[in-house]
Amino acid sequence: MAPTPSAKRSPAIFAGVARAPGPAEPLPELRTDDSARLVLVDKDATPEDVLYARVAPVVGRVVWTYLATDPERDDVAQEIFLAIVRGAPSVKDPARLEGWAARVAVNAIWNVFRRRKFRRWLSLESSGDSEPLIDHADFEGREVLARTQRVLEHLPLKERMPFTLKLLGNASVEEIARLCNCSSRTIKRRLNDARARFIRLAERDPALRGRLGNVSALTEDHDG
Amino acid sequence: MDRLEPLATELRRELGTPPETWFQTQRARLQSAVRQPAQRRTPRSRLLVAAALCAGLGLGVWALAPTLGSPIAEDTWLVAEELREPHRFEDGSTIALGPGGRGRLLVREDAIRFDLHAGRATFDVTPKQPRSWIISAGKNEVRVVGTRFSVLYGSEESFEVHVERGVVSVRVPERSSAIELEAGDRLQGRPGRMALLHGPLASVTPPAAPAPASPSVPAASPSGAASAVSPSVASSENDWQALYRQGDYAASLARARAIGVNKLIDELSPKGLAELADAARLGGDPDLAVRALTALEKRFPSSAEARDGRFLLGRVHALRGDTKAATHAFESYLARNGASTYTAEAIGRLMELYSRGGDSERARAMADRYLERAPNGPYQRLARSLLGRTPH
Repeated sequence: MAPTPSAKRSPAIFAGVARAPGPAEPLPELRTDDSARLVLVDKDATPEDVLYARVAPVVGRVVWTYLATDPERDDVAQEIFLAIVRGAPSVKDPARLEGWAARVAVNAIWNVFRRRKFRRWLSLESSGDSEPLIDHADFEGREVLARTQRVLEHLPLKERMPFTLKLLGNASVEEIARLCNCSSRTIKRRLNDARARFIRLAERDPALRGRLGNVSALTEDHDG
Repeated sequence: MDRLEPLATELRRELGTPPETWFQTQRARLQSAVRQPAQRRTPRSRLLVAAALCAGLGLGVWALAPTLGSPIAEDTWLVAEELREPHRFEDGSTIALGPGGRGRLLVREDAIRFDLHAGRATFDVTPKQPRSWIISAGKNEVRVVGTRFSVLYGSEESFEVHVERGVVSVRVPERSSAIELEAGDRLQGRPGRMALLHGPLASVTPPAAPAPASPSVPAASPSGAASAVSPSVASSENDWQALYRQGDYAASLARARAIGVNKLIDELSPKGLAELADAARLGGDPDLAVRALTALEKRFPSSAEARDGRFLLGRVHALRGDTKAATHAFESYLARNGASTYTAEAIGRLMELYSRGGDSERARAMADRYLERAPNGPYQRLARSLLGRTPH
């Protein structure tokens, strides 16, 4: 069966997220674009429960992408959820709730990073955002992730935010542009800059260097 | 193909997606926060004026003040291979991990949370806790009051809780209400196929056949065991090995003792002796582990198990605090084996032992050797500090 236009999806991080029900789709069932995923809430669910069921997957993915190893992850997520609950009445088109929630999450995390950067600058702290790098005997993957977060912390925020979505979230340029409130052209430029900077920094790290593909053997696929 | 793709793929795999328990916790926190009366909002203009007045003073204080403490007092990963002894809390509660076990520990003022990612973890929680204990394993959650129990989270989301003492409350996705487990109870299976076993058989049933056909948790029979369990399995002489392979070391050890450890030590194959030593080491009987490993060395000196056994013997001696014997065992392992499975770790451990014993010359020699072999290994910081080099 040929896919319908609505079923056409990019391998984007928010692909599996429930969208808002249309007028003909009464709550509590929320369907995805391709009807593959169904989010159910209890019969006696409160409006907050329904709201949470809709936005939690989006917020969860954003939080995980940026803050998976961050000690403040859960508190930041909670702040985001609260901001969404308080701000949801201002969303005029209910069908756009998930997209709005994702932007709230990205902006909140952007602010967290900005505050940290400012605080570091003021106090001349050298500590990073992510968990301290502890050597785990058999936990190589976690170490690679922590080292990557360290490298990402060295990127300018306007590059770090879109590039993290691309690198860890596999988001499309259009999606990143929407979340970062920029044009696709700007995002492409920032992704290319971030990519070059990231590779340069990653090459200095022995654990990451070995995981970068070979320059000569591979065709570079820039986002621009 | 993008040059970053191999790294990106690995990172995405490691990152995964938020577990269901995380969503549930966030939801519970949100519900509680929403129920609290909203704070009266100050007009934005007044806020701006106040902010401007405070800015100068605030910036100075901010620059000098230490970073505000996070509500999380401790956030660490526990990895079996790094834990030489159970993780101990100030109130005496402990977390021990079986081989391959790993998980994330989050300690707050009001709660302790352990997200078990793989393997078996055994918890000994001191009763009358001021903090709540929550253990999550996949989509399952265990809440504790004061007890001793173990949780296993294995391949294909296999899950098991075995309570040795006290009461725990378990939430599994299949049931809306929690299941209360008491001492001797065992809940085991996979999503959609859970079995609850009561009574004495719960402690000896091989978890290799955990799931009865029933799609939900069946009630226990009056005789005390779930119907899916065959009592004949429990009486088999090899069931201590089945229990060992499932990571239930305490039960495996108890079964081995019932059969007779002398008989086993005399009759077992190299592999069997290595397993008995492991069961003893991880089940809390280091003396028996030493006996089994010594017998392995004596009876099958050229076997592969005996080669690794020398290293494991060093670990058991180190666990018992016998530094001299541990040093001798690690030295013997390195002398006889050259480059093999545990070489880097043996060098690292020797470096640590020499360093602790004040033998700085040999410690530095080992540090040099260690960095040459494992520049990013778990002992690299100690090695670099011994050699006066800057850590990575």
